[in-house]
Amino acid sequence: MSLVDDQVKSNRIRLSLKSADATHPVRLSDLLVFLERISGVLGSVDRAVNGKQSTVFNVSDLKYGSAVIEIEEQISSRHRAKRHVFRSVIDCFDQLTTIMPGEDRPFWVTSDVLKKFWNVAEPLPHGSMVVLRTQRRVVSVDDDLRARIEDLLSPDTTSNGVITGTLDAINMHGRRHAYLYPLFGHQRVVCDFSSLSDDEVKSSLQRRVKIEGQLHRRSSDPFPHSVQAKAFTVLPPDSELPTLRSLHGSLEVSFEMSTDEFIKNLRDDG
Amino acid sequence: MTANPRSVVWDTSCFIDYFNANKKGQRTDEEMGGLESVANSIDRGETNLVIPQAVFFEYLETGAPESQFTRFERFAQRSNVQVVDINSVISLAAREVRIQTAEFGFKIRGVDAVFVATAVLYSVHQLHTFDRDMLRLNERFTVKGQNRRLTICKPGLSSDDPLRLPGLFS
Repeated sequence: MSLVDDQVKSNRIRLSLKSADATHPVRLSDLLVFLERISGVLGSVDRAVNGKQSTVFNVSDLKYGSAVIEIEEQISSRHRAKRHVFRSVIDCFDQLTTIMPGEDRPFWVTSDVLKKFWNVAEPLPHGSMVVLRTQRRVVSVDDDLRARIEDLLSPDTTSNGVITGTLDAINMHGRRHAYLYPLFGHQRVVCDFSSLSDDEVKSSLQRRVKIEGQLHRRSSDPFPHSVQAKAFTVLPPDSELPTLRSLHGSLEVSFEMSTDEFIKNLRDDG
Repeated sequence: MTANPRSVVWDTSCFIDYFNANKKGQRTDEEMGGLESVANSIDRGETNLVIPQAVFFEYLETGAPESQFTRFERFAQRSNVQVVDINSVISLAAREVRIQTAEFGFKIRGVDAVFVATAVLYSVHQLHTFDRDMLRLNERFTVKGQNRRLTICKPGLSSDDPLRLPGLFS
């Protein structure tokens, strides 16, 4: 089953379900499960953006055959100032599909909202992939989206450590941070340098640095997504560092046995 | 995640034998040639090197003088070298490596498993080692985020491996 069409026409959203098997109509159980999940998203987003569940949703059209349901967001004059729930739903889908691993979610997207979106991304009992089409883009509601949501939902693990990379894109306004581009892991790591002086950080722009501080990573991810810098060192350029070749032949070992036996003994003892 | 085009993990024995220049004569010319070709590729910045922190602990046990150790540490600051601390994710992955290795009917030591787990999680192309137990795990584990198995082999850049560099042997 696929959710093939959704259009935000002023205050209406249209959901069309298509069976994965074109020769069979949409299963009633799939429709009911899906409507329950969408209802969960709408209620949760309403609470998140408006502070409480205050929006009324009506069924404005219902077609059999291709299983089209049109839901209307009822906006009364006294609610004019509040935030549009449908627009927020679409915005959230957009952001969830483009958010970088480790980046913060939009401020209003609570854990409850995320869980409801995760529910929608779950396969339907008899269905396959779900696709949501907005006027702006197509959103594949699939494993990738589920994984992104799970990443946002998983708790952070914090540890003291070191990370190296090239420092770039310093933001001196508001929350003072820069981006660190490491050799492995996330493409960029958010580096909070509130406890360091501006001059120190500015002088290391575009240079390779070793940052010591509190590393934050998702509990299932070996790579940190952000670091709260406590100290950092600008690393010398490669031209000033030893090469492997320069170390060749430099070691006189103190053990008699072969290297293989030496390592084996060390690891057996450990 | 960034996937590096060429990357290797070196087991501790690779560093010891390369830095010691095979003074004990335990490696064949071919094995030393393999080490040299990879080392040259790393020095040219064409291959990224991942060093699990355990390498430094084990290297200290060789009796290397302080000055030599410091030079090794400074080498590890190069832009295409990454030193990896053990964190909880790597520990768990190492545990999984040990469990799966037992299912294959082999045994692997804890530190060996950390090297394999690091190579898997960092999605490197090859783990270089001379250890027979680790070599038996060649192409047994799928690297993270990629549809390929981890190559565990003796160091070298052969004609059919993904690390081969154009014109390297010409």
